[in-house]
Amino acid sequence: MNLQYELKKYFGYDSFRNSQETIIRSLLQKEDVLAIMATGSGKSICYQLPAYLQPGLTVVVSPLLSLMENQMQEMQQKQMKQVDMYNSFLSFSEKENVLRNLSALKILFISPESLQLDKVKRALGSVTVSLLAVDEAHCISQWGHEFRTDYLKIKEIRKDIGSPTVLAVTATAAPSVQEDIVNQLEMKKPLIVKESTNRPNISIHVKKTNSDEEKNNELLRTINHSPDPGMVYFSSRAAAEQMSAFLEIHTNKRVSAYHGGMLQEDRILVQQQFLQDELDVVCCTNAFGMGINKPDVRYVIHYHYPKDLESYVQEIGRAGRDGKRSSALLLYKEDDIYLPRFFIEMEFPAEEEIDWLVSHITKGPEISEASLEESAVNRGWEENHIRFFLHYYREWKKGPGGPLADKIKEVKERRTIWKQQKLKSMEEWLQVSTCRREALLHYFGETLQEKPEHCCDLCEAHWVAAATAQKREKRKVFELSWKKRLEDLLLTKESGSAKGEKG
Amino acid sequence: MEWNFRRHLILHVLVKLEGDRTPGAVYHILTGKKSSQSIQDMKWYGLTEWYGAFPKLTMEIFQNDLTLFRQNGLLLPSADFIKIPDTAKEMDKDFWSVYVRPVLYNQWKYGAAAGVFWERLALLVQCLSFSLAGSGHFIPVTKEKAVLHWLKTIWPSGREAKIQLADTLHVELNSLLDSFKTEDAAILVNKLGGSAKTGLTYSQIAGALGREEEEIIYRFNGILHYIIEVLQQNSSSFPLLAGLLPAVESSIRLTKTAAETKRLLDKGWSFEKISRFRRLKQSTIEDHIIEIASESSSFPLFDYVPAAYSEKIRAVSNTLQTRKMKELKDQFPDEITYFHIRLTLAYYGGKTDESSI
Repeated sequence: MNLQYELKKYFGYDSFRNSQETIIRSLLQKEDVLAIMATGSGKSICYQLPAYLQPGLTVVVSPLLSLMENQMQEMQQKQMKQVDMYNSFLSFSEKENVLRNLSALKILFISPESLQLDKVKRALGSVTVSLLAVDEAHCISQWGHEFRTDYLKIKEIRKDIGSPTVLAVTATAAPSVQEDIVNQLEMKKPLIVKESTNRPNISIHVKKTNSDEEKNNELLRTINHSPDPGMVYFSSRAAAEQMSAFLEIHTNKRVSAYHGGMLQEDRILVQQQFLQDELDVVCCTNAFGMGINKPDVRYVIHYHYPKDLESYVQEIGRAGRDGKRSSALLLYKEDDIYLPRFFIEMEFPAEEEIDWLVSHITKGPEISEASLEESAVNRGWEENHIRFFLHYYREWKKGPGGPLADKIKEVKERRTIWKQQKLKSMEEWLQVSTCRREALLHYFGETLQEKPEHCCDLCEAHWVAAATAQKREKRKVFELSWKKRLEDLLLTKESGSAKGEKG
Repeated sequence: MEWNFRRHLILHVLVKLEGDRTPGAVYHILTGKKSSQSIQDMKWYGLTEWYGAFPKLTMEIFQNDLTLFRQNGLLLPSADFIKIPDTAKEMDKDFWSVYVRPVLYNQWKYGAAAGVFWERLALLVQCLSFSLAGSGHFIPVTKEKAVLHWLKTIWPSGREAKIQLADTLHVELNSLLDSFKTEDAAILVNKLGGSAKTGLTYSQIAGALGREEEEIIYRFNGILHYIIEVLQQNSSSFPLLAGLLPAVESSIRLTKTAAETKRLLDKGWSFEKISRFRRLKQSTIEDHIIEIASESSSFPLFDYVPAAYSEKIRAVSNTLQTRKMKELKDQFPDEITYFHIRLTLAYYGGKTDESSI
């Protein structure tokens, strides 16, 4: 098969990048593949192209709604048809519709939770599934940086739907995680493709500051001397909003915040504004960026450091996808260490909460999961805490073992310690005194082959330069003269009388 | 304590419910909770203008605001009902005497239609704009499948037809908004976007106008409610825009659970039987009945309240000019229960289709 020709036909690209072709050829020959590819390196083509070239359906398991929506969006923009998604946010009739039309689809995006539903399994069992693609596959490993218990059931479902070929994709995975993915998905002698995490066109900078004020000044100075556009990462929604307002006042850049707590319609608008170059800086949490493909982001700044190096690499990787020179800066100060520790703490239910919910189970007769869930929800438990609890509750029911509370607390303890270790690696990297790039690659089990010209602050790299001294007036975005705006939106030169008359 | 729009509004509704209800009722009104009780409260105390003003308000923020009120002596400690000192009532009055309120705000009546109308309008403008500019690369402003599907049903084929449609839309929007205050028209049009410029977020508009985001959301919704009212009354002047309105719901709007109670009542079931069958408390069924009575003029009031009682209740409430339940109850002998009073007043007052609220 002439894959180049097919690539051009479906995606309009002239040639494959990196290992895309190798992966696709293997999949078409029914070989399982584990692909470790940096974000932005075109991993979606690895399952989208085979989907169109093979008979049957390709099922893509994706952990995040935003990821699914973004992929759908991208495909719709490329006028690709026969794609749909199934997740808990659809209405009942929408869901029924998707399942009824399954045989007409080439690609179905689905969340791991939905995949476990009996009616979904039945529907998938009644059509030919030729490929099962597992996106963000590190979620399957307890030792991946975002463990999702629902991922563990994928292997059973794979059998239920006729054991299709499996493609597991992840951006970053340490060797232990790779092993876990292969085992958990029961992949048969998979082809393992690993692309380097190195992004030679991004210079890496870290700066320690002594106070919030100093940090803010450093942020201001950097942004004022940078080419647009750029992104600034924060670990809390409140900080993203506050600093967005701060930058809006103190720079002449157009700045907006973006985080998961914003209204959906506003989130779409900020994305679109950023893509259309109507914003210079986005102050965001890690909810932004997932699947957003803006090739010309010139810099990424971390106002707070992420919880592990995997997240860090993913986030700075949003810069310079066009291959042009870009930079990444991480700002930190001594007492930044508390925030990520607090977040790790918050990822699991508190010990006394575990005891509280366990007491519901041990008290009376058999209690249903639904009513456990209800009690937890009413008490204000977070969704991921409930999921965590219920998963280990099910595990506990299966086999002999000690008291339930002990088991859950033990898992929590183990996972917490592990997360703290990841965080420590992140923090140790901040203290590196040789070359940051080398140290970063070393963490991912790689060695640096060739030092890029602009490597890191320790190798005395300069920050990406602004094209010219940008001294421009800040553009007003809000138009009080609404008539003008309305004309700009709806009238063209070919329109009837209206435009000419009002001139 | 720093004042903001939300705090002014919370205080305002607290004042309206003073002495009769708990602060929790205020929260449910402001978030637009679709429960029998909240809907009754809304109708009863004439709070349609504030019902659902802050759909995203969290209990935490609300409680924080109450704590601030207490610390600043604006809300007095009390075990059950809201208690407000006169100074706070004065402040409330002062604020609302100068605040320019939206021309209309009725989330209860128009909220659902406004949501659909806006998504259709914003999507239509965006798609026309991109299409006329010859570009197909954009993120649709809505992800609502029903709205995306709706667009397909009206999407014209051929460039001429698209230009024509955009032209008509421009003419209608222009003439509709001409009668609006400039700021209101600008808020609406700046939320629209297309190929040349993307729509603005609430926070961006708030920043430009020097107002708060929550206030802009509130005002924006008010603008939509008003547009819907205008379009319903003058559909012939705005045929295209009126065509964006979703089908009007039936005039009787009940919560799901009250509708179920009504179904059983219509089958001739007794109060007790329904309560047993549905495993709901008797007081919950009472709430449902009050909700049904307030929405339906064919409700058999005298099956529940002896005619003599209901006459007395109406007479007294007219003389006293109060909506406060406790004050009313004190005027009657014990045989007349809270249920009798609430039901009678719900039946005779509070039909939402009447413009009195």
